[in-house]
Amino acid sequence: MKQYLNLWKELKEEISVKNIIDAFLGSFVYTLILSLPIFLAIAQVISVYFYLLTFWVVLIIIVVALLNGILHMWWKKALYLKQPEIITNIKRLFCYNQIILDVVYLIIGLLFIFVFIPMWLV
Amino acid sequence: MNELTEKFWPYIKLLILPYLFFVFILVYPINYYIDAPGGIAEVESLITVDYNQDKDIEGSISSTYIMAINRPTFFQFMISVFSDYNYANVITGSYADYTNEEINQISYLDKATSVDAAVIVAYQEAAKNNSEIIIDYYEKVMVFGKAIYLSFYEDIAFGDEFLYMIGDNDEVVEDYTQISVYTVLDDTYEFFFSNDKGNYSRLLTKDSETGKFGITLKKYYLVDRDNTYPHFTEKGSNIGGPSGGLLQTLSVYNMLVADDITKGLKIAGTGTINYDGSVGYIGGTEQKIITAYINKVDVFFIPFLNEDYYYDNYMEALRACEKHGIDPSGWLVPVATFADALAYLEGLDVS
Repeated sequence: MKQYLNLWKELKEEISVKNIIDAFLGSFVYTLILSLPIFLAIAQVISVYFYLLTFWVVLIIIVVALLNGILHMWWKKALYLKQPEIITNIKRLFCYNQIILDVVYLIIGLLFIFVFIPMWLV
Repeated sequence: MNELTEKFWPYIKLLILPYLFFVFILVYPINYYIDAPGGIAEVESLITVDYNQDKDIEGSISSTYIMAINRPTFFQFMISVFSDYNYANVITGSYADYTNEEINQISYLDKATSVDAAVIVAYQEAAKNNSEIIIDYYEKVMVFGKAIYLSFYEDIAFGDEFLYMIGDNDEVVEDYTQISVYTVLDDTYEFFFSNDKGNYSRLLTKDSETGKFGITLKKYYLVDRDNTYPHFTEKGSNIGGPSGGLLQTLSVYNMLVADDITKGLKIAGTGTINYDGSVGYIGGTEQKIITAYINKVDVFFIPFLNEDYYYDNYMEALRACEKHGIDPSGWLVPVATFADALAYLEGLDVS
């Protein structure tokens, strides 16, 4: 955790918070454009093949993890395009970031499978 | 943002048309409907009765729902053909004129009134052997259907209560079955309705072609909760339609009697319930059979009213079993009344 926070600190000092946020927003918008039809399609597949609901929720968790990976890949790309000679180990920093977010998505997905969906389907 | 756009611009130019085409087929609705297998929902999660609280119910009683998709998108329609379990067809009849929101309103009205019917039938049956149980109900005539030519179409909602109308010679007509008798001399009459916002009236004019007002009224019996014992609680539901009536009746009855009628079995089924305890037909039989089979239920009740009728639910279910290679013996149980279902469960030997 300490190493993770130190890496963030290093990156902030190296290319400023403004540039990090700008790069993030760019990658976020493009990921959103990419994910919109994907989630619409998954929602519609679920409606037609509802009896495989648990499988689809697992698939959604995997898709979200992949989109998370794409978001970080484009974020990293945008940062390098802003400043090609970054010294901070972004690869490691974003790897930690992705793991943390993927665990959160996994927990949310499991909550849906075991708590929210049984509550909702009354 | 700008850096990424510059970098990706050649790809964006290349992919924008396929992207827009894909989004189009994901959002554009077509005038079809799709029935697809859904799941089973335990009735106990919907209705609970404050009685026999310490009774141990070993099995479960569930209603069966399917996914009824009205006006699917192109994409939904295309992917539905990949499964033999799904059924797609053109929307016909009055539903063709309704919006998806209106179809949902009808579906939830059906569900709400079906629960009341289930409670009435179950309490009446249980009260035969237990004088503690009291059921009281009242009559309510509600708007159940609207034709596109109905005057003030938007003002009159599904589920609004019909109070009375002023017929010929200023006759106050409260009995909705007498409306046609008292609306002979003129084309326009004043109808009085009631909803959550209060009472209101509208002048309804007969359609010149059909000679009808374009409104369908239906009589329901609703439970008078203040004069009913034991009290029951009905939770909000995300599943619409009246087809869970029979199973709701069985479940409520099981909460009222001392014995556990489930006998540890996973019981499911389908069929509407009428106030006299008879069972009514439902739609989507094939998908419900598949749903039951996937969920490995022990007993599945299905309406069986006339073996000569091609669309009798039990006959449809047998054809569905044959089509999908499912053995119906031992679990598919045809019933015509609530009493039939009860008698079947009582006669079961699960030792």
